[in-house]
Amino acid sequence: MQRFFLALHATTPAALIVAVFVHLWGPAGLPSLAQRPVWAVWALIGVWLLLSALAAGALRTLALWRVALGGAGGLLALAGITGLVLGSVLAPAMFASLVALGLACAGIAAFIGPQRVQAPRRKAARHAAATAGTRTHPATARRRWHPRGWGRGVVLAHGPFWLSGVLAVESFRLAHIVATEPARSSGMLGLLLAMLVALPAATLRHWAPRTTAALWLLAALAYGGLAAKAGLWQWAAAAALCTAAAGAPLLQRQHLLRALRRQAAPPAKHHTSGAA
Amino acid sequence: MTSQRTLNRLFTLHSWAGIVTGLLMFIVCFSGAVVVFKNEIDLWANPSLAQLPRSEHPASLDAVMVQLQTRYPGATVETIALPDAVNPSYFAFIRERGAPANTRTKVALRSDTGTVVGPEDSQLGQYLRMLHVFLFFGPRWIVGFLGAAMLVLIATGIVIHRKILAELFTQRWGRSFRVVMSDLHKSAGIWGLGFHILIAATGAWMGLAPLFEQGTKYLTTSSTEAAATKPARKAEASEPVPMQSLDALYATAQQAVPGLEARYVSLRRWGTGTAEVGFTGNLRDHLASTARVDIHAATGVAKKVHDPRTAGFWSLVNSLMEPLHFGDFGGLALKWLYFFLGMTPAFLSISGTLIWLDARQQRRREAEAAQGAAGGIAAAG
Repeated sequence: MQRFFLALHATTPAALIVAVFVHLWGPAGLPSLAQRPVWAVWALIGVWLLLSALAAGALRTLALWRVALGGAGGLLALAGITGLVLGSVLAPAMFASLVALGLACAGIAAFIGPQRVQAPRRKAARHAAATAGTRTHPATARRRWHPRGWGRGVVLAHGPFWLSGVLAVESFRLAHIVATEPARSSGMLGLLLAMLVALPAATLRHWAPRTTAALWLLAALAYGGLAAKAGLWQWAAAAALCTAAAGAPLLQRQHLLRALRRQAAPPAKHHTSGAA
Repeated sequence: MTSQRTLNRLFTLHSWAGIVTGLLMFIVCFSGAVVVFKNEIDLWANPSLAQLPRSEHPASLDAVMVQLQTRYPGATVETIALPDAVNPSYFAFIRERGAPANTRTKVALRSDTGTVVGPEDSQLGQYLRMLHVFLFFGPRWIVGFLGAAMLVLIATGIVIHRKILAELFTQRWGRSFRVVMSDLHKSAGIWGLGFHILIAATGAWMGLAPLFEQGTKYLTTSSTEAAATKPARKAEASEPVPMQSLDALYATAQQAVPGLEARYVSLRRWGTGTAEVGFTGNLRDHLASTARVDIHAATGVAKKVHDPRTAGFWSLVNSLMEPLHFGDFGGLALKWLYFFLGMTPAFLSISGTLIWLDARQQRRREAEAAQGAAGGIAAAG
């Protein structure tokens, strides 16, 4: 998966150059490229995903970059030559530019390699192994198993981000997919609130809890205003959720204080047994 | 002075914001660097237009309109693009009779006579621009929010890498992959800092301004006001009415906004009582790009005049965003500079992703080694 993710980056230039060839030789039988047809978009996406999957499956990380860059370089030069052959406007200038960029890509492909980096991975791993016995808490050692209730904890810890995401997605849906008034305009405002108020509130909660609470309250008020103006239940729900997000840290703190008090107080059972 | 705790958190924020938006950011930045040459690419990818001449005195707009209506009877001419410094020809976007509502054909016309050459071979430059601006399918806001994310990445990057001057010249080849990549990431980020801020800010502005504009309009207009004008328009729109000369309307537009050099003429409801013509383009000896005049095509009366030089500070700022973002005001040299500098944020996306993945992999390896060693010690004990 990681290699596929990297391949998506690495094969982007090559996929775009394939799209260039598609535009130079538009296939017959499909809608004309003068109409900016959607098949040209799907062709690029398909080629990009296919190239990425092939590269990720067949090549190791470094080879993947070298092949992708080298391939892009070759394709760029070929595109330049094609322009000359077809007699395009600006063909000589484009040929020179595309060949120069192709050479740059090929140069980078040749330049990157094991000789540029001296990865001391084994040494580092050996060092870590040697010191592991002496360390009380190995700093980088992470548990690969998760305790009971871990999933719930993670969801709660990332709750504000989930909330921001849900608000953004729903606003986007109303503004761009539903796209009728009042959903469209209020959706645009909802999206701005989600990205510029709710997301910063979620991000800042460890640094500035008071600012976070204030931002959530601001978001709640604004969504409440939208609910009143647009009359959509989504904004009322958003306002309620933002209010809950503003109050959640207070509830958590109260819960924590209660737990601490419970810990500090001597257990009742001991008292009774002592009295007896 | 920023505390270590804050720095750690900013580093986490920088890493996560980068990894979450990295791929999209890479695609947008990479395509953006290429789109600087949009007009040149469009021209190059149309070999059939190679023989078309550049005319010192282009044909009149009326002649162009007549040619289009003769060649495509029953089609709706929506936009006419005028010849400019790169493109020697006229182009028109037309909706042919019986074509789906969202299908427009781009047609080329000779600039000297206005004769229709025919549909273009392709719209490669525009296709790449669609990728950069809309990611093909989305509204522009998505890229606008990416611009905002880029600003956050720049701000957090500046704070966490405080030794800016030293990092300008630090490149330790032959060290571990992460050190080499990290040095490249920092130096590319710092060398291109000013440009990155410019691109991110202008990109965020252009992407998000419509949201703010539409949102404000929605908040300040009551729903009854918006609904009131619609029925009257529909009734007027059905009556055919003779139109004024397009050239005369262009002259009116140039009177309304002195120095207007229209790039596009857009026609709405042409031939009806509510027909409007919009002239948009640049201003002579000015960077602003949003000058626009809307004229009632039947009466020749200007309906809406937008001259960014006189429309207030924010209008002027808004009009500068597009040229500053795409660098189409300083000739080919500036375009190449924009291209190379535009590649640096794409590189930053890749290098940042690689650094993050390498750090994660190394943490895993060390954890496994530590667990293995702890197991070995326990077994020996």
